[in-house]
Amino acid sequence: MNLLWQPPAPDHVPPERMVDFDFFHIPAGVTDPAEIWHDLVRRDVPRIFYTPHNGGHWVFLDYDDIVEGYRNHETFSTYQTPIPPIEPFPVVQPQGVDPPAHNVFRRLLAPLFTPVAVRAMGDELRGRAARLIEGFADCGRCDFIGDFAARFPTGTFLYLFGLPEERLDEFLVLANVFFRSTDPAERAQNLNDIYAVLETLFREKQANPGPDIASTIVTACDADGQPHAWEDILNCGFLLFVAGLDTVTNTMAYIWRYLATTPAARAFSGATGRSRCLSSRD
Amino acid sequence: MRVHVNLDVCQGHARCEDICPEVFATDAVEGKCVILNAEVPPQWEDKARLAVRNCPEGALRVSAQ
Repeated sequence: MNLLWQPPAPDHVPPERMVDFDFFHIPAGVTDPAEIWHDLVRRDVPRIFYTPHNGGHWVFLDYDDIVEGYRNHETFSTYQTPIPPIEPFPVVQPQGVDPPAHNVFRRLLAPLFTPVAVRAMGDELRGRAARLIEGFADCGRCDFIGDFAARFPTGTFLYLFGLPEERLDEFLVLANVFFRSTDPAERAQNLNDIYAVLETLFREKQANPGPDIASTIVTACDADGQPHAWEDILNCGFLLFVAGLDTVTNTMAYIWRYLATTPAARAFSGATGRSRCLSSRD
Repeated sequence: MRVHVNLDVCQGHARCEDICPEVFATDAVEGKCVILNAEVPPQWEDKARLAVRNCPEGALRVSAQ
């Protein structure tokens, strides 16, 4: 990367804070994406810098700055955050809305994911993980992303939303296009496809509510006892769709990569007794 | 040692309950922090401090009394 970036800085950016950094570009020879971030720190670029790539955006390198950014919504709004920008992009609920409006859907979702609520899902989720592993255990090997990490969260989403397991492949395709495609027309069509699925889903749950999260969202009332705006309901479903799929896949991939390449961490994990899969199939 | 929560700031991430369930819980209606032991027993002080530091919103604080 070249630090002597040629285009002039936008008016709101001090020239010394311009850095030539493309979020999506993985240089040849780099096998660990975390190295790209370590390299920025090693080269001593500003801890808060601006890159003109992908529509132009700020980058924070320090943990303390990131925490401050998340806590200070007046300066660092969470409205419209995709990189690069998608136009038009839905105002996702509640993540894309700053306080106090943020609290409306946060209050609806938070009780569904407390430690107690999540513990109650434990047996179901462990069973789902075990069934996936049984599908490839006899081969003695697997493609961790394709055989497990991509399928586990998508199946979990179907379960939480009260959707049949047969739709797994359809949802995998929707999520994959959403997160991988950089083609504007394909992305716009994909967004329409996801919203069409959510529209049908919420209409069905509105007519026949069940013990699932989609039903909870669509039947909930606001402070005045009225149903939430339909657009907000769809935008909340959209957030859970995108947040529950790719993020979980990537997090699991990083965790298992770390465990696979760090024997000390593996020993610690086995010793705490919280990872039976590891100790039995290490 | 005492712990305090600012419920206007708490968003219900429930990191505190996950780290130190002896002192913190979350209410089932709004999913926000509930302090079970405002006067933290000495054996839970370290875990309670860790929970306070881990609050994403900075909604928790510690005082001597």
